[in-house]
Amino acid sequence: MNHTRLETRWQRWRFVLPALLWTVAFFVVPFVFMVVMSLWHRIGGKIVATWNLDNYSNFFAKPHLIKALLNSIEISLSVTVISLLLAYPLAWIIAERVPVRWQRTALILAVLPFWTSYVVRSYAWLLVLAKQGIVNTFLLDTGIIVEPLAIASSRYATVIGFVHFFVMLLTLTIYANLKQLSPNYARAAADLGAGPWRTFWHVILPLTLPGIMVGAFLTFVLCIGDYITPKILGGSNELVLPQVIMLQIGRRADFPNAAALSILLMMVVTLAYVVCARWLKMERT
Amino acid sequence: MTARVDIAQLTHRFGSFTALKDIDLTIAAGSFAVLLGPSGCGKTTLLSVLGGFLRPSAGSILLDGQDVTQVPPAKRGTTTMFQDYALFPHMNLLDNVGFGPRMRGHSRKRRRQQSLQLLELVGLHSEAQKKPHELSGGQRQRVALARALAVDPDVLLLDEPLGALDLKLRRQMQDELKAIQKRVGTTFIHVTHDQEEAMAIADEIIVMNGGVVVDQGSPESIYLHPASTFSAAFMGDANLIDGRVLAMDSHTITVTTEFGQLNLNAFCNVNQNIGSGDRICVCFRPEHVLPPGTIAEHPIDLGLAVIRDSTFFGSHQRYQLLAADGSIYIAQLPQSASMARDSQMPLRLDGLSLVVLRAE
Amino acid sequence: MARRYIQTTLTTVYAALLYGFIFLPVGVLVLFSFQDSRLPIMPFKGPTLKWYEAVLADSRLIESMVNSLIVAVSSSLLSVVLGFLAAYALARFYLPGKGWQRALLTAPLTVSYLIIALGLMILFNALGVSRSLWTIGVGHVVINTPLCFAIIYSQMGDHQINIERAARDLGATEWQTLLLITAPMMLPSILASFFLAMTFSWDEFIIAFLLSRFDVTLPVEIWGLLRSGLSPKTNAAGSLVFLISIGLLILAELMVFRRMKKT
Repeated sequence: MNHTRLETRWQRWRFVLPALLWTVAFFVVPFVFMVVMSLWHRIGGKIVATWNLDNYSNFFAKPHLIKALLNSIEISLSVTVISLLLAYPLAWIIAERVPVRWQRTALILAVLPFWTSYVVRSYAWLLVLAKQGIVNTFLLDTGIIVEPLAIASSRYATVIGFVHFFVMLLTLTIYANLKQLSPNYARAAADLGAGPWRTFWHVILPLTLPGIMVGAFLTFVLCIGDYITPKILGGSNELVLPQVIMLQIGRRADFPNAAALSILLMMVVTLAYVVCARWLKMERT
Repeated sequence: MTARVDIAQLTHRFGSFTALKDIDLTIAAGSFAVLLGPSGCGKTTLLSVLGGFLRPSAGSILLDGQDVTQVPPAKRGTTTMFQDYALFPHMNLLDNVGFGPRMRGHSRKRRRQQSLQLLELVGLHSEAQKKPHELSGGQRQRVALARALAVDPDVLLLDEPLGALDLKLRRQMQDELKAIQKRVGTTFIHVTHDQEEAMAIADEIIVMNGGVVVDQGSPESIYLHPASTFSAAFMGDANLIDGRVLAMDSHTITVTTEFGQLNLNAFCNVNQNIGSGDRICVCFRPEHVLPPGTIAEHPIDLGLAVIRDSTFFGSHQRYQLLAADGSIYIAQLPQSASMARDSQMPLRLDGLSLVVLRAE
Repeated sequence: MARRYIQTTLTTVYAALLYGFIFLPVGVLVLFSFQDSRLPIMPFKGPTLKWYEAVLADSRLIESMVNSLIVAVSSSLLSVVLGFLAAYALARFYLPGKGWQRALLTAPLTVSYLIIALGLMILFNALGVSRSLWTIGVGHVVINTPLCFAIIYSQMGDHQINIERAARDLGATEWQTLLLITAPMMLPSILASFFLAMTFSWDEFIIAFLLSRFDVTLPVEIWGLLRSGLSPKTNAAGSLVFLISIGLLILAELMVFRRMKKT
């Protein structure tokens, strides 16, 4: 209803203004600044306002940069798919097979390592996957392999580290989605003659899909923008885009180039968002 | 404290929809007034305007002669008791009731004393430390009342306060509300769509429809002498016979109806607003049908009617009668009058209880 | 019967394997923090507490932990206040362009921390603001305000409007209503968003790394430790951080979820 209210305009605005101003000052302005910066150049140790798209065209001219972008996309996509495939059954087991009074405990246990520091978590995987790490030690001792596997400092280590984190996140999301479903859906399907597998495939999975897509999108976005995990576990043999960006900042203080690369990274994320949103919309209609 | 309420030329629009149209109304100080009407009639809007939550499009509101139209809710002498009670969920009853006094800067000790007194008034002083979610619906309603009274308002506005209660509890709370109102003397303005509730508690009923006041008066006068067919039909059951005035003098009104010509007592023209040639409705209540064999001073005979259905109500019987004009009328007869379905009975009315209203 | 048996076995094995995978790195981390040799690798010798002693004697590490705590608490407090006020305004008042305001307030959620950090770094450089705990705090408020806003906004229901009206009707001013009625009523979601913001800030690396100089936060300090290679001392530091986070989690559980269950 269109109430005629007794508040003045200022009274309404004063509560939302601090947050809006903060977001504009420290999010929008820096972002605009970054876009501007991406059109400039670092020449002879100084940043010059050149106003051209060279940083972007340079990107496509340099194979190692394109390779970094492709690495980023490949790693993020495979992490998303593998994490989903691993997390869904676990969430389902917790939601459907674990007795109700143990479910909370089971869930908390499944996400407990979430609370190790993010830097420490990657480091811990290094202990597991390194040349002298416990996986190699175990496999050598049992005689399954003779040479230590070079998992660390490769994209496999990066993917394992990421998958570990996102399996926890997705188990939580998917569990919440499964619990939201009324058990009557499954009962109705069974009542109408669908077996457990068909009930899952035709009823449960489609109903949880929107929630899963949100989780998948989140996984992809967090993955593709992350620096620490590929840096610690992947090493510098195969760079991903955030590593390249950090190199521009750290070693060369080339902010214009870093800004351009960041904006490219953001475009990939936006593209992923558009795909997800489209797909979700199609599902609904 | 208490105050008279004057509403003058009040109009309120929501966009292009006019919710209140030119309302003029006076409510006496210390009375229990009920705004009665079907949903969408504007009664809740009127209450919001009185409470200061809506600023009216036009017109004014006066409390004891003082214009408060532009005064915000907190600063005017009204307090609202909301339909969902709006109790503060994180405070116990004592703090809920003491909130108004606290905002007025009363000392903790005084607040406590005041709140306990009010909780006692509503019979909840032993639950003072409980939180709202630990109470039943009726108890919450009482807390809301105590909280509203704690600021000693001139006028208490009650927005369908009994709507969420079950029937039995509702009847019980009606009596309590009325008793409390008499005790504190505050002007109560109460909104409801339940005519039985209105009759049970009101000193004065204001019937609203389509954003205008269509009738105002004591429960008896509205029931017995309704101002319009709308208020006649809304307040209890009313049987209506369409007709036209043929002639009238100081003693008799002669009307023509499907039942033929009827000679009614001039007394039936309760609103003094009909004349020769007007289209009218003759209105009678179910209990105004005379039981067969009764002798009446001024009976109106409408021929024989067939009993189509009967229902036993304990204290009385209710019949559906198919009359000679082909319409169904409702009659309420004493318990003892037990007549079989499909049998016939004479349809005779108490002529002094009839009301002749202008057709709408 | 047999089919059911196979099913149970399969699900149990699967769950066990996945729980193993989830706990493997944490187990290794904690185990080798008690390692009585210079490398946290097989074979395990010990146990010893000497690495914990080393961590507690490392003043830089302790200092960074204190820094982290300061930044986490203060930035989360500010985020909650900003998010709560914005949620209140957008849920209760008729403001023009509400959709845009909501989109703007939640936009930082969809952008990588790296990009937010880089933008702020460029801005602070241009303005000549030197990097410190303050600049880290600013960055953390940028990422946590949208979170607090979204959580609190989603919990603001229409049924609370009459409660706030009642308070105003009884004489409370706008601020009194906000502090005495709305905030206590929203306490579960306010606390939940505060704790979430705290853990995000406590654990955040890239913003803290790019926006700090001399005073660093814990993740940045640990990152420094990593550069010297594998060491049980890093294990001990990591295990301690884990312990503190779990403590925070239990505190949040006790304060927020108990409360939620009660009402």
